Amino acid sequence: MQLPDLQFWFGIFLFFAGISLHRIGPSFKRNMFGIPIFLIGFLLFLIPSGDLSTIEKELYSIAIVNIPWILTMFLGLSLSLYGAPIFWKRKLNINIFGILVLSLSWILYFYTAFSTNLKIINILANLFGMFIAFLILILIIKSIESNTPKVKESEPLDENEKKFIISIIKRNIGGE
Amino acid sequence: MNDINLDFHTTVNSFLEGFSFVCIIFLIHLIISFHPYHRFFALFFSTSIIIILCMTLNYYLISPESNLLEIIKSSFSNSLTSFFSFAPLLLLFITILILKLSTRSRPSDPLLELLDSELNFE
Repeated sequence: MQLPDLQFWFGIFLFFAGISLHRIGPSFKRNMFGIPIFLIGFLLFLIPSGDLSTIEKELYSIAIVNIPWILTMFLGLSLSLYGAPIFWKRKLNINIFGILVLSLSWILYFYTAFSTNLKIINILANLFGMFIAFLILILIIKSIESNTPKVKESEPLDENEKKFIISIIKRNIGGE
Repeated sequence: MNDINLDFHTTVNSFLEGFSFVCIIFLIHLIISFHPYHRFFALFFSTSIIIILCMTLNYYLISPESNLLEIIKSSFSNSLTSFFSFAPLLLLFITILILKLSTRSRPSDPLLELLDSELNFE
């Protein structure tokens, strides 16, 4: 494998690694390395350092055609969601601007990426394979989770522990 | 007859490629988001076994002339291409969802009103 191909695949790996890292907790917080790794992966994928081989070149050309409208779609989605009356009051300007950006992504799609020359059967078979893999992975996770040994219920407090707890409560809130 | 055979092989190949793509992505996710409280090893080994089975099937039944790396590369390439072909449907779904969300009014909720008035929370 040549260096540009290696960079290409490493970029894809970092892209997915960044998404995974961004998704892990703690709750309501995101990992601080997720987005930088995602962006580095995206750039490595987007800017190859030389000529790519056949498989890579094919994927790269399809991605380059599709990325502009997908990015516009995500921008429009974020803006419209931010402006829509979900949790906050409606921010009408942002909401309308988001919908306009979303419309722009439709225009971009029809101008750049729209094609009727699709191998529908292959695409459907591929997507069906992904769907079945998802189902099987969910089943595996469910069966592994259900086979996890349950933590035993804790024993009631003994006399010494009771005295210790009472002393802590007395120290903190007083009482007889 | 040959055409039918070829089509059948390509379709099964596409199915196996999509299958292994999701499993490999899941494996990457498991490794990257490693956590001591996850049942990591059980999930890792079961997913690895599925990927090996898929690759073996693909290698022996569909494309015996290619090597393992080629199979992984083409599975990623074809699956991402399928995703790009499927993405316009996603855009359609998102557009309908956004239009629905934008035209509805925010449900009245005493807690949300309290946040708006007392804390000046926007």
